[in-house]
Amino acid sequence: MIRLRDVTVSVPRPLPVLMLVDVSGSMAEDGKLSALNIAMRDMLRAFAEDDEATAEIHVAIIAFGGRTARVHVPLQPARTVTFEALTATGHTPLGAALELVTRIVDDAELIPSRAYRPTIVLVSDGVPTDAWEEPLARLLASPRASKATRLALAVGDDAELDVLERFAGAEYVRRAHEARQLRRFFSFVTMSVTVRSRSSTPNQLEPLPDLGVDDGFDDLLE
Amino acid sequence: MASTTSWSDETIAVFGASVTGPGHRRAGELNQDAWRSGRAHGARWVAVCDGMGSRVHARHGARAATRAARDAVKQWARVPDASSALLVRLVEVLWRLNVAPHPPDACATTCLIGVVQPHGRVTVAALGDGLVAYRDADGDDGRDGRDGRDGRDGRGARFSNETLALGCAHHMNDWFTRSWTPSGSFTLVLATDGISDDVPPERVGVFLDWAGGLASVAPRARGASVRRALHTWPTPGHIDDKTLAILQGAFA
Repeated sequence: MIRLRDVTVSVPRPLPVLMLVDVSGSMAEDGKLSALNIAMRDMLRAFAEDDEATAEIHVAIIAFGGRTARVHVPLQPARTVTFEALTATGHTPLGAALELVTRIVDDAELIPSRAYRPTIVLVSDGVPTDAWEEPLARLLASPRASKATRLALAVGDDAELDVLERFAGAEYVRRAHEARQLRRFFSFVTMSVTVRSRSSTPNQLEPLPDLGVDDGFDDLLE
Repeated sequence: MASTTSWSDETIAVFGASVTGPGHRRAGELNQDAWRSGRAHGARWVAVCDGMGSRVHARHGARAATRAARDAVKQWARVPDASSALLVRLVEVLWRLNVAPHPPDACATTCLIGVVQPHGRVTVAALGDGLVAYRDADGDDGRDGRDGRDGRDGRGARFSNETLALGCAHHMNDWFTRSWTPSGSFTLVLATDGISDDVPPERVGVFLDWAGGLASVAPRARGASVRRALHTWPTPGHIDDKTLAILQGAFA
């Protein structure tokens, strides 16, 4: 006799989150990268401990710095991720990162069609140093990657806001001038993804909050 | 074209069930899938529809589509060799009339239809996500809503809960249609994506075995068997509404 469990898949639908993280040399200044590493670790821990989820959160981290982009953490369930702190050096090859993330999202072996719509989060503090416009156009024209939810964080005053707005659209870009704003952004990403992972409509995204409002409780987050 | 095959009513089994998914149950919302079966001019038919959750009148749209299928088959089956394209056009028009006065885009729904006519021809028509799988003496075949045969937006281009639908922009050639006359016995399974997303393509044949096996219980118990299976769906974290309909028969 055939049992239904022998016919169906035994894992929840994936909810992929792909982090594109600028690790150019300037990220090492003013404690930006150390704040980012802490925020990233907190986010991954929250994803891994999300035991009310109906979808399974999968995470990939793509670091871009020096001459190219590389996969720092391959796409996998958040609970299996071992995060090693990122280090910063060299230029800001955003184009290479966009190429890489488009390839990953377009790969139906890595992200099956039963997955919920992926989220791509871009974090950068500078101006791209490679050709990024064509890779962005390819991402936005891709039948799959163009459907990903895109968020972006400009870290510090030197980040090129226009580039990030072309990536995510103005309403999904925020600027962090200080570490607590960076943490707020990551808190939002964490909250948004975990809410979606428990939702009956996991493809819907909450509006991005204003990071600049001081609610008087920030010191409690230290 | 004339056919020498035929069936008697006793040799056809049509049954199914639809259950509210855990996601809608938790939210206190109603099932947005619908299914319906019936007879018309000697034909037996079944329709399975999945209202798009993001649309405000999705439940109404799915139920309206099953009524549109019923009314379309009633006209279409009068002509033994009418084309599947005519069936599809009737469904499109009748669905729009059925959802009125609501705008079609507020009622968007997938629509899967299977019909077997008394001279032995089986016709399937499907728009949007979900599984249409069939088996006859020539083997297994079918179509998954996300595979490459589903119009312009082919397999891999979409993610979960994104679909073509009545009420969303589409072409007539986005409908998957097939008509054929099986010899011997056949099984046709229609399922919404709450089911098909959790059945990998390589296991559809075993799924057909399982679904076909449900016809072996007493006719009055078949619907309950399907319902029980859908209520105890084994995939971890599943949230979607689920609808499964089976049309099984044997030709002489």
